[in-house]
Parts: sequence; structure tokens; C-alpha cells
Amino acid sequence: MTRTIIRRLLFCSLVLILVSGLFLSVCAYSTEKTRKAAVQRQFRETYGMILLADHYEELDTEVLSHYPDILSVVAAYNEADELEGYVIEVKTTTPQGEIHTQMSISEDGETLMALRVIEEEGGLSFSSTEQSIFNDEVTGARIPIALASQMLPEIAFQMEYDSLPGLRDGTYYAQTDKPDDYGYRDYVEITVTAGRIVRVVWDADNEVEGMTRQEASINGFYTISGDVSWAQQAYTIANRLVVVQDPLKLAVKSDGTTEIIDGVTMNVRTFVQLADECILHSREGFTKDDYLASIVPQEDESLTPTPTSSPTPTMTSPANPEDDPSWGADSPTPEMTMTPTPTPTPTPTLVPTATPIPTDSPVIGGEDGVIIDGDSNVVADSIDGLPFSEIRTQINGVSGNDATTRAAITTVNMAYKFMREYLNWVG
Amino acid sequence: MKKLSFIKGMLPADGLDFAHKRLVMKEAVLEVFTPKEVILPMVQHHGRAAIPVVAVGDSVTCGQMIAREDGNLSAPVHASCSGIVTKIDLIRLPNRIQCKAIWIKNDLRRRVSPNITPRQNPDMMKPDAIRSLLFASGIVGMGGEGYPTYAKCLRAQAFGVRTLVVNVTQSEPFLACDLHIVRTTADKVLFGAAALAGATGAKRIVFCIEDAWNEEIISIQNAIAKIRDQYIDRSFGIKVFRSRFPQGCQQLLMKALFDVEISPDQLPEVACKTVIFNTSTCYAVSEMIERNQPLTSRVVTISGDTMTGHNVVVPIGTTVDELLERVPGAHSAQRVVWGGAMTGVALHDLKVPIIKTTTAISVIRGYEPALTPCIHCGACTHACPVGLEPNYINRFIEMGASEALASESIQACIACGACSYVCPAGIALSTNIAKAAYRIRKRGSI
Amino acid sequence: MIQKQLAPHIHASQNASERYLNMCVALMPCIVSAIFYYGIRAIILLAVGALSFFTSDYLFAKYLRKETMEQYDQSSFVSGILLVLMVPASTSIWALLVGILFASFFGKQCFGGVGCNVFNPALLGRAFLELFFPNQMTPVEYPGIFSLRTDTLLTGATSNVVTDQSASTIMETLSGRYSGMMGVASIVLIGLSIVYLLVRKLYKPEAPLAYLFVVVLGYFPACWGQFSFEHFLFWLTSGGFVFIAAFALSDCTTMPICKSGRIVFGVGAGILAVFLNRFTYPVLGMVFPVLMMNMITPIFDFYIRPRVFGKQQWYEKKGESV
Repeated sequence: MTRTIIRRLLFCSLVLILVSGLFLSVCAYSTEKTRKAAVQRQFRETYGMILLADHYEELDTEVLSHYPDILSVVAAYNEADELEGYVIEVKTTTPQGEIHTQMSISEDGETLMALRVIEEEGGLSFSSTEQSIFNDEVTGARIPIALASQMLPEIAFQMEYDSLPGLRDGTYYAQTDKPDDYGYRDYVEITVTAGRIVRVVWDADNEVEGMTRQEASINGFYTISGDVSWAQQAYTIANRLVVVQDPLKLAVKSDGTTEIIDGVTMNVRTFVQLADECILHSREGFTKDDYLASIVPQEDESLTPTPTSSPTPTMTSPANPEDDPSWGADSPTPEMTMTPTPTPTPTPTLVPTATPIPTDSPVIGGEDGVIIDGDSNVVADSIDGLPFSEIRTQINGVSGNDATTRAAITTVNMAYKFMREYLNWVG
Repeated sequence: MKKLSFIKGMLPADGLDFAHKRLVMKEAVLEVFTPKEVILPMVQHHGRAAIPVVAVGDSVTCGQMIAREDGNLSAPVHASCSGIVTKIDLIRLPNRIQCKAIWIKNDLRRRVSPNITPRQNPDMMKPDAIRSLLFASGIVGMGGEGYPTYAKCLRAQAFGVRTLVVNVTQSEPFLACDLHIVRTTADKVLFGAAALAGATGAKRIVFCIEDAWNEEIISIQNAIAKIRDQYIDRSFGIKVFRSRFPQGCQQLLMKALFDVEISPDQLPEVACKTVIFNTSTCYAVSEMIERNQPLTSRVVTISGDTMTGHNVVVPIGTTVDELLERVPGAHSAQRVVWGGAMTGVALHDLKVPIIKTTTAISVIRGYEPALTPCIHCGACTHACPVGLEPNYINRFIEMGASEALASESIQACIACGACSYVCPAGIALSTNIAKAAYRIRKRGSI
Repeated sequence: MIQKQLAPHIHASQNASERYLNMCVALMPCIVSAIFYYGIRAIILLAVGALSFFTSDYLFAKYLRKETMEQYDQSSFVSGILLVLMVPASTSIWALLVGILFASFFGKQCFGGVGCNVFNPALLGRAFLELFFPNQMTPVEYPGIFSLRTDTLLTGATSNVVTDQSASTIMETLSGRYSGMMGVASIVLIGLSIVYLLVRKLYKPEAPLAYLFVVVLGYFPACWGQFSFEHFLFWLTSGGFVFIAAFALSDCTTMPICKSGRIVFGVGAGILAVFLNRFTYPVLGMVFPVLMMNMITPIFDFYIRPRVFGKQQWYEKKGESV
């Protein structure tokens, strides 16, 4: 192998490399435009129904690796190159089955703009009417979302406890006459749905400090003796009331404490009194609005119930709790019960309206979730891995197809989690 | 003019076209070399050894017969320079012939034998006269075969040949001796050829030359035009061949000229009624007829891949080392080859004489190709002029598979060396095949 | 004792090592194309492929067959690079290594080494990879020029979204800007390689011409009803026909020696290629026809020979020779 031969080989290979590199560069340059146009065309074909925009750009971030079920995330821009939103495609297997959805989320990651379930073999799907029903519900909703009936079972449907009779649906409120020595005025608010107490809040406002007692307790401004903070104890007992449905069953003794609830050692007499009052109001249909309106004259306890005109959400959940399979303990995601056979609703109407939770009232204690040990005192603290405090919207879902609805919600929440992480990452 | 060749089809990778790389000085007059000493072997031909008629210490003249022929298939040897016989001893020639040789020390006086006189009326010689002249002249086939010309004429006439072919295809690389003769003295060659045609009884004379040598072709054409009227009963022609190696091999010539395929043991005289003579032979014949000059010198090309070739008139018997002393750059070469580069013999000892059949001394740089396994590329099959498959033959030889070899007909091999030349793996194919063919001929198996 | 120097004393300039290095140089356009579209990953795979093929060949030859080679020729590099150019960029390194081991042993060494192999080792390795690692052999969307994506180098990528190739423009198709195997894409560059091989006189065009002729003819019955120039280009490029014609049909070891044998080889391979491409998928149509015809090469060599001087071919009438 003489030197001339090697030199000649190297020269030839150099020439070939240069020529081919030149050719490839020229071709790449000239096909760049058509390529981009083709890619955009394909994007528009795929995502145009969800989010029509001028051009799209696929996101490539490490955050995606945490979410293997998210197939792709595409950012959509308008002509002015402003971000309009994100199109996220998710394909996952939920306890209800496989589902593949495309959704568009606003650029701040907070609002769901549109959602479409893509039909696939062996996966869950919507019929076109169901799809439009669902779209009506979710379009513009703040994410994350949950099925309204979801909130119910996790808190309310404990099979052993019957609800008190005669409760009317709505939100009912009671507060103490005078604030206490620190300026906190306790209040209790209960929400009744389908004759059951589904939500109980016990907190205290302080006009002077500006914080509620829960907030103060959480932030360390209000401390009590013992290991468990006031906020936790209040939350616990409030949830216990949701479970047992009857304040009597809380077994509060004459000194105001109860022994049957773990972790609650403080005086809860105020709570019981206010809860009784709320239940009374519920029986009469004296809603929170009525109460607050009647507060100004302080002693005025108007017993004339104003007929409730709040729209009653028609629940698609089974009316009889015994049809529900039991809830699993300690599970952050609820064992889904909706799939087997959703029994027909009490009212024949199939157009439920959503009652969104007022966005400025937090679910007390929900941001860190409290799980109390013991079988029937379990309170699940999250849906799809998201604590209840984060859930922004409750929808009623599509009656007759709860499985797909629940699964679609799972995908939306997954997208929300991704957006949260991504936007934190970016910004 | 339509070009003939022995193979139709694709050329192998290198083309085996050695003509275009050949740089030949077109000298008009050749240098006549004067050696200090000549060695004249007794066997410079195909046949029985000549018998010396001089003794040590005798003084000889140039052209004097110093060894006489022994039988019909033999040729006498004439002294190629004047001087004193110093030694008569055995010598081993590079072509593995061992024989006696006569050493003559040149006295530089250039004494010429008195027999050498111009002849009156050379054209009027009868065939018998020509033949007896040939017998006495010691002329043998000077292209390498060395068959005594007299015997060849007899044989040709016995077989009744009709065509005489003058072989001017110098397809071996670096060779140019015949080309020079044809370029400068084409009429003499023609005269010699015509005389041989008369001696053999051939009516048609054909010159075979390669297409790269345009000057030579023109010179032959001119000579033919001049001489045509003198020999009205004979026809002259030129056939141009494509420059390929080994174009000059006699079977391939026959195939190209007459489309007849003969095997190496068949004679062209029998098969095609053709007799083939070398150009130098024709020239020597013309010298003999015109001037009664026996064969004492010949044109030799000294060439190689390190230098431009040039032709030298060399007295027969000059040793190679003397010759190469005068050639610049010859000592740096790795190989000195006695004969053509493709079919010659590499010399280890340069004290070797140039004999009647030596056409060239090739001085080679000696490229030793690296030896790798056979890659089954088929270059050898493409290069083989007789249609063998040397790669498979070589594998069979290595494996010792005699029965498989039987179907490969390696007796058709003409030992041209083209397969070894083109083999990228550097395998010595032609040598292996030649050896195996020899062994099969002798013993019947490998 | 001076070593005997045998005639002929001159030699043609090309020897085997130079031949194979010229083949490597001829592969340069395809290598550039692979690196251009697939970035660092292509460089890594190519280097790993070539070196591991060389190493495994060398080790097998030295320790298994106990062969002492004074001069090693570079045929393993050619086979290694060929194999790597035919896999998509999603191949993981260890799958490639397994494929190379298979190709080196079963394709070359167990037949006797260089020059003795029946099958084309690169194609054999590719067939092995196709059959045993099919999920890694799915074509990957090219990540773009000068990409540095080296993730999944060890484990292999799962199939991602792939844009539809038949929607590419002519320019894209010609320059190879579509997803597929790494080096097979651009037929213009393969044409450049062929030109180089022709200039260097290493290329015997009978088999490739016959093959391409049959393939082009076969387009019409195979794609009945979809005729268009773009589709024709798609047929040519996705089937890898030009690549095979350039590199697999010019490999001297596995092809028949005589011209007519090579033409028959090309025709047979072309028919099989059209058939397999149409009825199975394009990669099979690229790899298996040549392998099948390679099996028949020794038979071609035995029956289709040059005619020896003075003897007649076995298919000629028994006439008289001279």
C-alpha cells in the first residue's frame, strides 16, 4: 500500500464527501420550505379541529419523559407569533379502559379549550352527540376537572351511614353570633346533594387579621396545644361529619371533646352547634344566601324558608349507595365504580348543568390531603393524583357513558399536571 | 482497417494493453554493441546441441562457424566477434538448459570471415538453395521459440502451407526490437519473408502488427508497395491487431486470422496451412541471402519500467552484465529479466549470455504484490485468453483435487502470465497452473 | 538462497486491499447522507459497525480458523459499513453488535473467510436483524441535520410518529429527505457512488443493469393503478433497489464470474425483488432476493463458463473441433 495510493484514496474520498455534502445542503435548503409547509399541513389536519392556528411547533422537553402516556405536545401560534395554546395528545389506559384524546389548553395552562376523543379499536369513545355534550361541558372550563359525582363518593358514600331525612339540596351556612377573644368568628357551611351532606367546611373569619383561622393555623399564626394543628383537626371533624351524616354520631361529650375521632382532641362544641343549625336550615331550605342576607339584623333568624331556586344538578350516580361497590382505602385515585352499570337517574332529563365550585373557596385542608388511618374513616385526598384543592371544575359528565367521561377527565388531568410542570420549568 | 483480436468482449481491468505505456526511442541508427567477451552456448535452439569444431586457444573471425549442426533438427553456431577461444565449458542457461558453451575473448579487431560477401542475384535463388543456405546460417526462430528455420521450412513445405505470417505484434511489455527493424528496414524484412515464402511454398504473406504502431504500419505498406511487382505470384497483406497481451501467441493468431482453435500440441502448419516467422528471423534470412551473413547479432531491447527503452544491436553471446554497464540506472533495479517482462526469467547471476532467441533485457523495479486470499473477483478469468478459469484451477491445485482438475482442461494453458498479472490478491496463478500442467503431463495427476 | 522470482515480473497496479478501500471511498456519499440526516448517532453507529466487524472477523479468523494472514484486506470494513447503512437510526448498539457477530460468523468465517463466502455478509446481517429485532428496524423520522440525539443508543427507540413518505416531493425523495434506513435514502448520491466505481473500473454493470431493468419493468404490474412519477420514484427509493444495485450486486465474491451468469443473476434478483416488495414489505424485497440468488451463484459458476480454446460448451452440439 504505497503512499501514492493512500493519497489518491484520500483525495477521492474528500472530493466525494464535498460533492455529496454540497448536494445534500442544496437539496435541504430548497426543500426546507416545502417540508415545513408539509409538516404544518399535517399538523393542521391533525389538530385543526381542536385548535386552529397559523403554525404549530412540536414541543421537545425533558418534562415529556415523565409522562410516557402523553404522545405529543404541540404549541400553536397565530400569525403574530404569539402563543395561542397547546394541543396535547394523550393515550392512556385507565381503569375504565384505553382512551386516546386530543385536547387544547390555553397558553397559561389553566383552561381547557376543546377536547376530542379519538376513536380507536378497543378503546373508549364518544358518539357524536355525546361528544358535543361533553364539549359543551368542558369548553372553557378551568382545569383540572373532576366529575361532580366523583367528589361525592370519595367523601360521602360510606355505606354504613344513612343520611338524615328531610335535607334539601343546596348550600347552608351558620355562624356564631359574636367573634371570640381573638376576633375569629366561626362558621360552618354544609353542602347537601341528593339528600346527603357532601361537603362540610368549618372555618373562622377574622375581620381584624384578615386571615381565616385555617390559614392562620396553617401558616403558624394560630397554634393550639397538642401535635395536631387546628386546621387539621377542623378538617378531620368536618370530614367525619360528611361520613357520618349526623352531628350526633360525632359523639361529642359534655366538655366539648370527642374520643372517637383520631387526632381531634380540641373543643368542637362550636362546630356541633353550628352544624346542627345548618342542618336545620337545610330542612327548611334556608340557603346560605338567605342566611347571609338575613345577618344584618343579627338576631334575626328568619325561619321563613325562601324556596330554593338553585338549579338542582341531576346526578347520574346511582341513588342507592348500596349499588356502589365499596371504596378502596388509601387510594389517591378512586376505584372507579361508574363502569359496571350506571343505573338510570331519578330524573329523566339528560341535560345536567354543571355546578362549578366557587373558585375562591378552597377545600379546606385539601392541598395537603389528610388520610386518616382506619377503614371507614378514609378520606381520599386526591383525584388522578391531584389534591382536591387543585380541582377547579366539576362537571356532570355525559350520562350513559361515564366510563369515557371519567377516562377523558383522567387525560385532562394528566395534561394539567404536565402543563403545571412544564410551565414551572419554563417560567 | 478492421482490427482483429483474440477475445471479443470486455477488457480486464488493466487492459493488458502494454502498448500505450511503452516509450520507445525512435532511433534511426542503432548502436552496435562491442562486448569484451562473448559466451556462445551450443544449445540456442530447439533441437540437438551443436558440436564445437574449434578448440581452446583458436583464433576465430566474426562469422566463422565454431560449432556445426548435429542432424537435421539442429543449427550451427557462428562466432559473433573475432578473437580467441578462451574456454569451452558447461553452462546453465536461465531457461534451464545445460550445455556446453564457447567463450571467446574479443580482440577488437573486427576481423570478418571471408565467406561473407554480397551475393549476386539474390532474387534468383531457388527454394532448395535457400533452404541449404538457411541450414548453414544457423538461423533459428528468433522470437523465442528457437526452432531451426531450415527444419521449419522443410516441415512447412511438407505440409503444404499456403500462408506465411510475419509476426510483428510485440505484445510483450517493453519490447521494441522487431518494431525497429520494421520501421527502418522494412524492405529487407519483406525480402526475407518473400524468400522464406519461396522456401516453404507459401503464396500469401501476411504481416501481423498491433494498432499502436502507426509508423511501422506505414513503413510496411510502403515496402510492400515497392516489392509487390517483383513477386507477382505472391500476395502481400497487413493485418492490424488490437494492442492486447498476448496477441502474438501462435494459437491466438490462428484464432484471430482464421477462426480456428488449435491446442498447444497442434501445429499451425497442419491445422491452418500457415507457417509463422518472427520479424528478426526474416531480417536475418535476408541478411544471409544478400550478404551471406550468418546469424551473429540481433537487435535487443533494453527497457523496463524505470527507463525509456532503447534498442541495441548486440552480438550474440554478449553477457548481460556488460550490456547493462552501459545502461544508466540499471543497477538500481530489483530485477533483471532475460526476455520479456511477462514471460521472461529473472536473472540472479548477470553473467549470462544473450542467445539467438533473446529479444529483450527488461529491467524491472520489482513490484511485489501483497499476498491476500483469493477474493473470487474473476479478473483472471477475464484476462485468460484461452478461456480457462484460473481462480478455480488454483483452488483445485491447492486442494489437490485431481479429478476436478480433469474437467478444467489446463492443458490448454499457454503460460502467458496474464492471470497472475491481473490478480489483485497477488497469487502466482500462472506458475501454479504451469507446474500442475507439467505434473499432469508427466505423472497423470497432481 | 535467493527467493525465486516468478514470471510475470510486472503486475497490475490494483491489489485486493486497494479494491476494498476504493469500495469504502465509494460508500462515502452514502455515509455523508447518513451523517447529514441522522447526526452524531450515525457517526457512532458507523464507527461501531465497521470496527466491530473488523474485530470479529479478525478474531474468528485467527482463533477459529487458525489462519495466519500476512496482509489483511479491508473487506470487513466494507461489509460493516454496508450493514450499518442499511439499518434505521433507531437501532441500538447492542442489536447492531449481535447482527454483526452473526453476519461475520455465518456470512463469512464459517465458509472460509474472505473470498469464500457464499452470501453477502452485510445482507445476511440485515436479514438477521430484520427477523430478530423487528421493532427496532422500523424507520425513524430523521431528527434533523446535525442532530445530537444519542439517547436510546443502548436500548433502541420505540417507533415515533413518522411522516408519510409518499407525500414527499420529488426533490425530497431524490435527496433522501425521508424517513427510512440510514444510508439508503438518496438515489442521486448512490448514483455518484456508481460513477466513482465505474471510473475506478471496479464495477461490472451487467448484473445491476439487468436488475434495475427488471425492477423498473416490474413497477407497472406491481403498482397497477397508481402510476405517477412521484410514485415511481417512491417505488425505486423505498425499495432500496438502487442501493442494492450499486453495492450488493457489485460485490465480486458473491457474484458469478461470467457475464451471462451475472445477467441471469440480475434478472432473477429483480423478479424476486419486485415480488417480495409488492407482497411483503420493502425491506424484505431489498435483502432477500440477493441472498437467494447468492445461493445459486456456485451453480452459475459451474455451468456458465467461458469457452476454452478448442473445446465446446456443454450446451453446444457435439461437433468437430479442429
